[in-house]
Amino acid sequence: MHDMMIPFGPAHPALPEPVYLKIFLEGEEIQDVDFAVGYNHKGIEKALQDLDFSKSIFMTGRICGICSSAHSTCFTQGIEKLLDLEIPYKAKLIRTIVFELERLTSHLLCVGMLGHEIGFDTLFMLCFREREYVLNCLELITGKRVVHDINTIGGVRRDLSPEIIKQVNKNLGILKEKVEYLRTLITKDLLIKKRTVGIGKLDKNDVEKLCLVGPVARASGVPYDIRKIDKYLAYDDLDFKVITHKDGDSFARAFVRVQEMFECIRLSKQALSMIKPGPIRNKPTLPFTEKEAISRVEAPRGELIYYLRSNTTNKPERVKIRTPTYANLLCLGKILVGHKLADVPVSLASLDPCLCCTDRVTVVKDGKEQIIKMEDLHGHH
Amino acid sequence: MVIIETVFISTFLSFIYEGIVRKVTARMQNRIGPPIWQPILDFIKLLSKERFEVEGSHHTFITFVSIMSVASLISTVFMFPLVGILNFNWNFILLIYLLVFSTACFIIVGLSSPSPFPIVGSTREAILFLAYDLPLIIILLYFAMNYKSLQLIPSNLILLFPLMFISFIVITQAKSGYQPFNISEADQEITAGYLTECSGFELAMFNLAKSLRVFVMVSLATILFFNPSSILMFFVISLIILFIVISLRVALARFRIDQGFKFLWVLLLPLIVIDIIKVMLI
Repeated sequence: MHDMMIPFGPAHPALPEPVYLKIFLEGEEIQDVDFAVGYNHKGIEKALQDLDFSKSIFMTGRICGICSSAHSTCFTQGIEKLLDLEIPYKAKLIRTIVFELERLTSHLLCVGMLGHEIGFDTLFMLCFREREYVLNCLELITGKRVVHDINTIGGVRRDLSPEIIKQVNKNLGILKEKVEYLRTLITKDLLIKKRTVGIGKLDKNDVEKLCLVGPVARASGVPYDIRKIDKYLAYDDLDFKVITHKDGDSFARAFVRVQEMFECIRLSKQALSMIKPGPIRNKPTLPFTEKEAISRVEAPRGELIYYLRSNTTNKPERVKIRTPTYANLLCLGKILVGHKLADVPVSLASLDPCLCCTDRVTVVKDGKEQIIKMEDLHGHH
Repeated sequence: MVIIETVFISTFLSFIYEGIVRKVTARMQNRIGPPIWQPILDFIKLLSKERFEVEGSHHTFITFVSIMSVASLISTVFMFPLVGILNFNWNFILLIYLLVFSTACFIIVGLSSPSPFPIVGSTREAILFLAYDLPLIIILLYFAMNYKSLQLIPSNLILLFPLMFISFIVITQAKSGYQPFNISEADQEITAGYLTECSGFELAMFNLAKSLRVFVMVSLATILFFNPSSILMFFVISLIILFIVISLRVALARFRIDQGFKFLWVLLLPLIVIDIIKVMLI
C-alpha cells in the first residue's frame, strides 16, 4: 500500500523539461515509480522525411539545444555513408572540436543542475559562469552559441583562422583552472557528498542488463564509449582516456562528468594543434541511391544512433533516432525505489536526462496510450 | 501610536533585511540581483493579486492563520528592549511561546490543504521544528536562569557563551528556512512546500512572516549576545550577523530531513551543553 502519490512533473521546478513521474510514497520512502514521456512530441522523424538532406541537417541540429552538434554530426555522418563520401581531414578536426566543446557545455550544465537539485545554487551559478568561456569559443568557431550548424554534407561550413585558434586555446587554458576548482569543490564539500554518495546506485550488472549508455554506464565501471569503439571523426588519432568510476552512484556520475571535462579540454587542444591549411569541404556526388546507413556518435549523454534509408530522391525515406536519454530512463525504477523523496531530484539530475531529444514518439491508439511490454515483443516471433 | 509605529517599522525593516539577503546572495553568486526594496514591491503586488480558492481547503481559516503568523512575530518585536512596549517581568516565556506559535502557523497552513506538496512540506517543517526548537528553548531558558529573571534583558554574553552563539546562528538558519535547512521549502522536491497552494493576500502575509522570522532571529541574536548600546550599534551588529547567515546560505547545500535532524540534535545540543557545563565549572 502507498500513503500518497506525489506527481513529479510534467511541469516541475526540479526539471524544466516535461517528464511525468508518479512517485508512490510511504512516509518519505519511495515504494514505486511510474514515468510517462511524450509531452513534448515534435514529430521530427516525419518532418525529416519531407525535407531534402541538405536542409534536414539544420532540422536535426534543432532537436536538442544542448547536444545540437551531436545530432547534426551524427546525421551528416549517416548521409556521407549513404553517398560513400570521404570528408577532408581538417573538416573532421573542426567537427571534433565543436563536438568536444559541446560536451563541455553539456557536462557543466549537468554538474550545475546537480548542485541546483541539492539546493546548492552557488555551484549552479559557478558552472554557468564558467560555461560562458566555452560558449564564447563556440561562438568564435561556429558563429552561434547554442545551435551550432557547422556541419554540411561533405565537410564543415566555416574555416578556422589562426586568431580564432589562439583565442580558443587561451579560453580553454582559463577554463581548465576553473574546472580544477569545480573538481576540488565537488570532491571536498561535505554536504555534496552527503547528498550524493550512495544515492541511486547502479552496479555493473544493472548497466549491462538495462543497456545503459554514456557517463551513466561509465560511472558504474563499464567503459562503453563510442569514441573508442567506432573511432569516428578524428578520434582515432587523438589521445584520450575513457573515464570510469567503480561506485555507480550519483556522486560517481557527477565525478565522471567532471573528469571528462578535462579530457574534452585536452582533446580540443590536441585537435586545434593538428589543424593545417587545406580544404574544408568535398563536393558530394549525387544522386542518392537506395541504401541504408547507421551512424552513431558518443553524444554528451551517451550513444546516439541514427538510422537512415535513402531512395533515388534527395529526401530521406526513413530516419530513426535513438537518443541516449531514451536508453537511460529505463533505470529510473532501479535508482529511485527505496530512497527518500528528497533523493529524486538528485538521482534524476545525475542521469542528465534530455527529454527534448527523447520525446519524439509516443504510441497512442484509439485515444489511449499503449504500453508495449517485453513479453509482447517476444510474442511476435 | 508607538504600537502602530513599531508595526510599520518592523515590517519595513524585515523587508529591507530580506532585500539585503537577496542582493548579497546574488552578488556572492556573481549575479546582479534585485534592488534592496524589491520585497516591498513584491508584497504590494501580491496584495493586488487574485486569490485562488483551492477545493477542500479552509479558506477563511488560512487567512486567519496567515495574519496570526505575522502578528505573533511582530509581537516579539514589541518585547525588544529598544522598543519596550511589552516590557513586563515574564515576557521571556511569552517570547518563546510566540516564536513557537509562528512556526506552528506554517505547519497548520500546509496541513489544511488537500494537495500532497504542502502536506509533505508541513510534515518536514514539523520534524525540523522539533529539532531546532529544543536547542533554541534551552538557550533562551538558560539565559533566563543566568539572569534569574524571566524578562528579556539585553546581555553581553558572547565571550561567556561562544559555542551557544554558534548554535544560535545555526538555529537562525533553520528557523529562517535557509540552506542547509530549507528542507520544508525544497522547491526541487516539493515545489513551494507548505505555501504551494497559497496565493494573493495569504501568500503576501506568509512572505512577510518569513521575512519577519529572519529579522526577529537576527535581532534576538544581537540583543542576547551583544547588548547593543545604541540603535546604530544594533544595526551594525545585526547586519554583521545577517552577513554570516547569508554566507552560510550561499556556501552550503541542503540537508536531507534525516541528516538535518541528526545534525541539529547530535551536533548542536552537545555544543550548548558544553557551554553550560563550562560556565557551571567556572
